[in-house]
Amino acid sequence: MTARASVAMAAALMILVAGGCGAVNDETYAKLERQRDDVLGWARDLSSVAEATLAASPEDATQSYDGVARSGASDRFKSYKYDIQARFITEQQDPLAALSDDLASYDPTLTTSNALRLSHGELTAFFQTYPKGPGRVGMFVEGPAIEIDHDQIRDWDGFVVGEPVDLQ
Amino acid sequence: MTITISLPPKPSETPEFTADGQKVREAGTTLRTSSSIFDDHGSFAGGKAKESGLLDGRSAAAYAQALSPVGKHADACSLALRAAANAVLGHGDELVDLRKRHQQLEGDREHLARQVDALIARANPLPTDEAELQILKSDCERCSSQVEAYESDLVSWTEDLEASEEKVAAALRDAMTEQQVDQKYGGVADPADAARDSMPSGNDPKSVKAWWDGLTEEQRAAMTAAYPEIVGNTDGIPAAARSDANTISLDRDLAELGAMPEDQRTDDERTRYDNARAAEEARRRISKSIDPITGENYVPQIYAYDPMAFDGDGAVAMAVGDLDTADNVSVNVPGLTTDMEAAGDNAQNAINLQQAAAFEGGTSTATMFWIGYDAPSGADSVGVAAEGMATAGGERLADTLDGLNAMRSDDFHLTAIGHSYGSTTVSHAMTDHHPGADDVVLLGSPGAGDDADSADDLGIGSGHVFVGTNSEDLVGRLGQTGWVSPAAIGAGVLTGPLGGAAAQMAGAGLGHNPAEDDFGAVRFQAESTSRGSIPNIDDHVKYYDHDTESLANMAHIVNGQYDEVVRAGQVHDPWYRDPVDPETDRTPTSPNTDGR
Repeated sequence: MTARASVAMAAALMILVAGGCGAVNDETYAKLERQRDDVLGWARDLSSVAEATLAASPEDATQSYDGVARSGASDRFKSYKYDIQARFITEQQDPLAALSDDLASYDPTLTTSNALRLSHGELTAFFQTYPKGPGRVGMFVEGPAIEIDHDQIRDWDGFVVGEPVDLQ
Repeated sequence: MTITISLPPKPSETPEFTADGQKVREAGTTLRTSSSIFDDHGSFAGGKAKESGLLDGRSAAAYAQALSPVGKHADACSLALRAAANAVLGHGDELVDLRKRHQQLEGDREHLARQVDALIARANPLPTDEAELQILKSDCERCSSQVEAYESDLVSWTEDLEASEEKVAAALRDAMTEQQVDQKYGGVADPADAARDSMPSGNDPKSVKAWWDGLTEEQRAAMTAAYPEIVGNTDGIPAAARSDANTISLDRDLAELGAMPEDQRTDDERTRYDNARAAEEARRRISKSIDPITGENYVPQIYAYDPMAFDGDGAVAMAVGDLDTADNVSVNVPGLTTDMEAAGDNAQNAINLQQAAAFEGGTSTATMFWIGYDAPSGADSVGVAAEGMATAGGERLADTLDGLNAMRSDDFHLTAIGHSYGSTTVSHAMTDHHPGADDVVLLGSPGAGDDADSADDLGIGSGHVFVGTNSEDLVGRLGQTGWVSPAAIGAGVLTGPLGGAAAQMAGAGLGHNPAEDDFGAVRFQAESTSRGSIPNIDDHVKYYDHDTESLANMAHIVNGQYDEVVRAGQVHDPWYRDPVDPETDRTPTSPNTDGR
C-alpha cells in the first residue's frame, strides 16, 4: 500500500473510531461540580480583593462550561472547563499594577501589556484591560479541561452557559 | 466707567434616570413572541384543524361552530399583544436614546457647575483691573448662555420622556380587558396577510428586498409577528428584521416545548426542542463573549432558524456583529457531522474569529456561522454520494451570499470560509453559482470539488482564494495532487464494508488539494504549536483556536489586510515520490489573537 493509500485508510479508521463516544461515569460529573465550586470560591476571593483595589463592584458576572479541545472527527468539543467572567468599571489609573500588588500571593504575571495572569493550584485567572474600553477591567477565572464530550455534558443538569452568578 | 457683571446661575440638577431601554425592549420582544403564539392558535383553531381531514360532515360543522369564536378571539388577542409589543419596543428604543441624551446632560451639567463655581471664585473679590473685569464679564456671559442652552435641553428631554411614557401608556390602556380586546380587534383583518400576499414569488433576493422596503412599518411588524418563519429565513430581508423574527421563533419553541413534560413530547417535538436548545446555547455563548478591544459584550444576530430542516438535522445561522452594517462580513461553513446540535460549538468559532479580527485592527466586523445545508451527519453519513451534499449545499450557500449582497445597498467586504467538507461546499458555491464573495478561505480541505481545477475557477481571482492547511492534518492530505489520487485509492480501499463517513471524505474524491502549487491559491501559515508528528485527525480541528497562525491569518483576510497574511509554501507533488509539504519542517508559532 502506498503512503497515500495509508493516509486515506487512516483517515477512514480514525473518523470511525473517533465518531463513537464512551460512557461517562459519575466521577466525571463529580469533577465538573468540584471544579465549579473551586472556581467559584476563588472568583469570589479575587472579586472581593478587586472590589477594594478598584473601588468598584463586579458587574455582569456569568458562569459557563466552555469547550476546550475538539474531537477531530466530529469537530465538537470533547473537553470542557468551568469559567466565570465579570467586569469592573474603575477610575484607577493603572488597575493591573494595583491588582498585581494586592494579589501578589497568586503569582501575578503580565502576559501582555493589558492582561495579568494569576494562578492558584490548577486554576487560572486573568484581569484584562481594553484599549478602547476606558475604565473597564475584565476578570476571567477558569479551571483545567475535563474530558467529557459534547452530548454528555449537554444532557447533564449542571451544564450552564452564560448564566448570571453572584460573586458577593 | 461702570461694568456690570451678572454671574451665571447654577445649572439645575439632572433628574435621576434609571430606566433601562434594553430591558424594556426585551419585554417588548416577549410580548411579540406571545402575539405570535396566539396567532398560531388562531390559525390552528380557525383553519388548520378544520382542514386536517380528521373531521367531516356534521362533526366538522359542529367544530366550526364551537371553535370559530375561539379562533377569532385568539386572533384578536394576537393583534392586541402585537400592538402592545410595538408600543413597548418603540418605547424601549426611545428610552435607549433618552439614556444617551441623559448622559450628555449629566456631563454638561457637571462641566457647567464647575465653570460657575470658578467664575464665582474669580468674582469674589472682584478684580480691580478693568481689562480683567471685561474678561470676567465676557466669561460670565458665555457661561450664562451655555447654562441657558443646558436648561433648554433639559426641558426638551423631560418633555420627550413624558411624551414617550404617555404614548406607551395610551397604547396599553386600549386593551386592558378581554372585552376591550374583542371589541377593538375582533374580526379585524391582519395587515400581515395582505403583506404576505404581496410577497414576490420565486426567491430572487433583490425582489424580496424591494418588497420588504415597500412595506409600511406596521406591515413589517405584522409580518414579523405573524410569519416569523418566513421573515426569519427569506434571503433579501435585512438581518436585523430576520433576527427579530427568528428570536420570536426560538423563544416560542423554548417556551412552548420547554413547558411540556419531557415524556409527552412527540419525536418531532423532541427534535425541535433539542435543536432550539442548541440554538439557545449558541445565542448565549455569543451574548456572554467580550470584544477584546472595547470590553463590550457581543450582540448575537439570528440570521436563520429552521429547527426541522433537513429531516430534523436543523438549520441555523447566527452572527457575532451586525450583518446589516459591518464593513467586513464572514460566513463560516462547517463540515462533516455538522447538524444544528453543533450550533454552540460553531458559535465559538465565529466568536474567536470576531475577537481575532478586532484584535488585529478590524473595527467593523460580523462573523456568522452558517449551518444552512445538509452536511453529512449521523445516518446521512452512510450511503450518500460523496460530493452531492457539497453540490447541493453550495447552491444554498450561494443563495445566502446573494441574499447578504441584496439586503445591503452599500459596498462591504464578504469572505466565505469553509472548513473540512464545508470547504468543498464553499468551492461548489463559487464554481457553480458565482455569488458575490470577495474572498474565499478553504480550511483543512479534503478537496476543492470536481469543478475546480485551479483557484481561478472560483471566479474571484486566484489571489483571493486563501488556503489554510496544517501539514499534519490528515483530512488536508486527502485532496488530489495530480499524479495518483488518494481519493481514487481510498475509494477502492474504503467502499464496501467500511463505507459511510470515512469513505466520503477519505475515498470518494472531493477534488483537487487546494494547498498544492498546481492549484494556484494563496496558502497561508496554519500550523499549530501542538501539531502532531504524523498525520492525525486532531490537527484537523484547530484552525479556529485562539493564538494559532490560522486564526490570526483568517482575521487579516476577513479584515482585508492582505499584506498582513503570512504566506506558507505550497505542497509540491513531484512525479517520482509522494507530495512534499514544506510546512512540515517549519516550527509553528503562536501569535496572540485576543490580548490574553
